[in-house]
Amino acid sequence: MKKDTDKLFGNLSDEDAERIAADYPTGDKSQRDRIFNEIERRVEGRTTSDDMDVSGVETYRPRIYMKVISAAAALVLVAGAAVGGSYLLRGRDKNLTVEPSSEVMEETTETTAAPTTEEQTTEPEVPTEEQLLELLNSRSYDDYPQLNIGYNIVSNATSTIEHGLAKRDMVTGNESMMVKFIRNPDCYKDVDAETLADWGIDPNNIEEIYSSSEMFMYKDLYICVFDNTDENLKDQYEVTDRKDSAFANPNVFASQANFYPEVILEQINTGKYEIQEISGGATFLGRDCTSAHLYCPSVKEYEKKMGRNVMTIDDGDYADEIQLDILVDNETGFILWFKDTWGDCTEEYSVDTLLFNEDAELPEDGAYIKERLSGCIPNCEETAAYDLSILDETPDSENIG
Amino acid sequence: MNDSEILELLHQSPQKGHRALFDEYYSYVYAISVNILRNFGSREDVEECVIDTFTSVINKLDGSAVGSVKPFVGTVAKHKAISMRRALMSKSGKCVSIDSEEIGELRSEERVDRNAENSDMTRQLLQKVKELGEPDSAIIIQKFFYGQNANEIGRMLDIKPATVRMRCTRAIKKLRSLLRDFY
Repeated sequence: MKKDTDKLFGNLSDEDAERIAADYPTGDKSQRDRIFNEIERRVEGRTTSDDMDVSGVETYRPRIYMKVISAAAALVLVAGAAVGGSYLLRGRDKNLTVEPSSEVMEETTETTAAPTTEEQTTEPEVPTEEQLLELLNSRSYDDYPQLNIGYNIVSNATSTIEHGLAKRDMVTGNESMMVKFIRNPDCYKDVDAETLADWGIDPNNIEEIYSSSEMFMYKDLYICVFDNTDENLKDQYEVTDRKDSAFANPNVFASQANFYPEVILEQINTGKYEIQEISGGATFLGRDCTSAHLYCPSVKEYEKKMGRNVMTIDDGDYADEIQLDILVDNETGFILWFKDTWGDCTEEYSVDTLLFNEDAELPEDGAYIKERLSGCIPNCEETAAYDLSILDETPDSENIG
Repeated sequence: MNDSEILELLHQSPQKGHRALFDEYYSYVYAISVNILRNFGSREDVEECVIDTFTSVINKLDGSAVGSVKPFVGTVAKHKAISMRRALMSKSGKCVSIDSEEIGELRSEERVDRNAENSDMTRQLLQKVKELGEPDSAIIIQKFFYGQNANEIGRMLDIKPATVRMRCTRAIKKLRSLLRDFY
């Protein structure tokens, strides 16, 4: 039982408890049926737990409840904000009244693919903890001339669902990353229309794109387009020298700001989690995977160990432990799926696109980017003054031959 | 269903009688168990205590007559919960030597001097919870008294878990403000 829960109802008399039971009956049908069936089973056997032959603490062994995560979701939002927020705020001209540009990203409607474990004729090899860590750290995004990774992140603790797609061409060094956040309709179900209107949300279109950004690491340029959800405003873009950006070298996949598995991996490497169970034989996206269950006994202790201050909202919901399940691709070492559980919050990351070399799409070329920018406005004078003639040069694909 | 009807049903059709007894007193037994095991046991311990209580009660009622069911059920529930609490304290090492400095931290179950004050505060707390209105008051009680999670509360109240979470967060803020004058 949680401490804060105890504080709220920690000193009730039997009479108070009886009154609560009368006013607020508990237990849904499935819960009641489960407990009643166990009672009937014991009554038929005429046993109570006192009579049962048990040893140690087995009688009261708790089930492992899945617990969930919201800090991860916060990080995702921070990442989104880091990608777009600061630039977006800088130089935005709210007086512009031009029609918004067309939506560049295709709506992705893929549902999260649930991991599966297939029956195998031979017992799958189960790696040791050391082998799992070695596999995770062996991932190398640079091993593939062309690579696409797309993902979804769904959390029950945040009001948005994130879709991302990154592309890289190691031959040219070009990369692109598209991220969009869709409002999670579940979070707005009981908000009345008036409140939604106050928040600027169309009650008939809650699932609209909340925010999105497109990054093009093209030759020596770093270009970022920020969507504008205000119908009266155009999308804006920012241009800087690539060498001054976080993507001076092609590393879109390795960036913790973009790819949450990289955050998870760093946390695993720095001892946040105990690896409790490893098994082989899982498949995800048709690929052989290793699955593992990890457990963080105390977030506060971990953050303290890392020299960071922990701020928690002590509202009775705070849980200090995290359960984490991951699926790691046996061939690449990529984390293809994970679900973390922290208190009542869950977050699920799942790769929905994984394409290599000739199967992968190339990052958007100069012509595409130029067309995209034609519907946008520069976010500041410095951007407006940028020489973008490089976008007119021969497409990379033609140069490569 | 009243006690005499339950006893009659137990006589005519034991299994139906068991279910009627269970449905009538499940919340009562659960409330007593969770109240006594709070701080000491897990959710599973509470459920185990509820199961044990009903098993004992049914075994007793099947074999002999009981005058009044409710006091009997309540007494068995309390004894089972207290017994389990002792067992859990023992397992968790909360039993301390009488010579230990920690002995001072062990308090009597009956804190007479605080009972009156607690009773008043509880009455106010429950009143303020009630003032939240439905379903918020039920959500607060189910979550913070019974320890039910959002999915279970959602099934119970026929609302989505995400809605439960949102309403709970808002309700607890409102409750804090309602209780500010009292705590």
